[in-house]
Amino acid sequence: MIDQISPGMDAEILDRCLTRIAQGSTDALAELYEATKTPVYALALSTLKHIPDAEDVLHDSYLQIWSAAPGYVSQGKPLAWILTITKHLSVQRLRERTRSQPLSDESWACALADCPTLSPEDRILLRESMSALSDPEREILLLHAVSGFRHREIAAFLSCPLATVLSRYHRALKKLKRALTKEAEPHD
Amino acid sequence: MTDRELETRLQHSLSALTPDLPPSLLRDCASQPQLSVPPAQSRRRPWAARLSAVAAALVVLAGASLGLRSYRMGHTVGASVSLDVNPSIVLHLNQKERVLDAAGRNDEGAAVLRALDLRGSTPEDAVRALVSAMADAGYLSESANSILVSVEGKDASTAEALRLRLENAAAAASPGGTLAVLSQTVGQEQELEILSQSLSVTPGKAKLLQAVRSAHPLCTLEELAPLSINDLNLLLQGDLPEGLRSTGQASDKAYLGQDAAREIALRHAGLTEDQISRFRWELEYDDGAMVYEVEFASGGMAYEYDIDARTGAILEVDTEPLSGPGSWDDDRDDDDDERDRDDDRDDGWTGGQAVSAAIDPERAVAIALTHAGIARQDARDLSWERDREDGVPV
Repeated sequence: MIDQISPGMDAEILDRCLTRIAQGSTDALAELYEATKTPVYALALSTLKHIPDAEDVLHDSYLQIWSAAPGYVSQGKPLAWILTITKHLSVQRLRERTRSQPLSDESWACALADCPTLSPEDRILLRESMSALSDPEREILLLHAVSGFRHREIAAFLSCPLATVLSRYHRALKKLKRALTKEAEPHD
Repeated sequence: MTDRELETRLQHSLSALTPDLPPSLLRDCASQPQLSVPPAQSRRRPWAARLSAVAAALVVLAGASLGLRSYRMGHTVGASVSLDVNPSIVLHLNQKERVLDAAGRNDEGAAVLRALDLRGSTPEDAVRALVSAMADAGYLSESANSILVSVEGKDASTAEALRLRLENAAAAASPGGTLAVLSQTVGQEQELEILSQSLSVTPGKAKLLQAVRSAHPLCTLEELAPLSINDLNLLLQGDLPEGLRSTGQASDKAYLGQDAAREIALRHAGLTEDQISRFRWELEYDDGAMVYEVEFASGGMAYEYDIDARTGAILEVDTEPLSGPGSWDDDRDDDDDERDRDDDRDDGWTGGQAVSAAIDPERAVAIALTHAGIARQDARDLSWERDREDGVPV
């Protein structure tokens, strides 16, 4: 079993997993899930801002990876290939979504409170990253911090100029720090 | 907290929130078929079976070859033509360049096609009929006169020739010759096809959206997708990407026009034409509305207005003193900031040094260009604005 993905992880490991998945190995899919679930989930959550929908997209992403793996041609960027599938499914889900609206800040706090694996600090950080940042800022920050993409890779992934990625990334960090500082201040 | 610490915490928090592998996923996968890829080698048959198969194939081929060629010419898609105004329509052409079928890519496109049967017609006739139908339905008018014609074909030179013919057909079909025609050829790119499906637009419009987004990087493709071709044409402001051809002028009659926007700004500032210098304007798409960004200088002050292009409402005003000699001087390139612009993860760039003191706009532009690694002469649509975030000027 390979460990969970960390920034700069070896693309060869993921490529080997995808090759085995293409041969019908569900064990390889389980390994790929463990290695990449956080970037996939983070991207879905960032786009959808809705925990149940993000979980559905997480599930559907791996189902699609399973189906499409035999056609995967390695170009040395397996995570970008995986996240393209997730992005596409997330945008589709966003369009289809008529019943479930994005959660308000209060609903976020409630949804996160239900998650026993999160510390109080984790809850505050996630709540602020969803409420204080714009969608593009959050997406870029998470692609960098969680998926380990370099800024140039993010620019290529989002078809966006590098300068825009850089400015949004730095702005996101500033905003998030400011929001966390404000949150830590004593309330009247 | 450092940037790195914040990123690590974020990664840890999301990792804690991400669900573990649900057992149902592997079950679902096991019952889900995988994409079938042709094997590298076909299985060998016994020689007798192979011989009979070859013989049978020869008989079939001999009998059918003449008819098959003709059938293919008439029934195989040779090229696709998409027309976008706001109705979006795709025509498939056979190899004899006759319309095989026509389909709307959105509700408006389907509505336009409802009364038309284009099958068997030449693409020129189809384009003329569609332009006329869209003008009758009010989609093409004096205030919205742009149409996008995109040709997708396997052979680049044939596609280019067809593009030219259809550009002429569309321009000639316009009421009073007032149509602005954007036209392009589109390669059969899988990425563009995925994008067009996710945005529910034609591949041609998806390609145009990418070009407009390059010129307006703060807009997302999803925000721009619902805009009409006329609005997208206006946002391009004549700055055409490679491969996109344009004839005619996009109408801005649905909007105030730059002269009116200028007058509104001057009236608000209490200034007259002869009191201002360095006037510039841009049409932008911001928060779901077309907006004129108007900038000028007067009496040592820089003025910037955001004016709703449809209503004339002033959405935002910024006035700042022009500081120091040479400010707003487009020739200034003396920035000596050698800040590392590499985007490696350990860059630790905060920008704090650059914005901590009140700086003039030109200095801000120079810092931005240096950080982006773009030479002044290579930058397009350069503009700046002052804003406040939580009371802090930025």
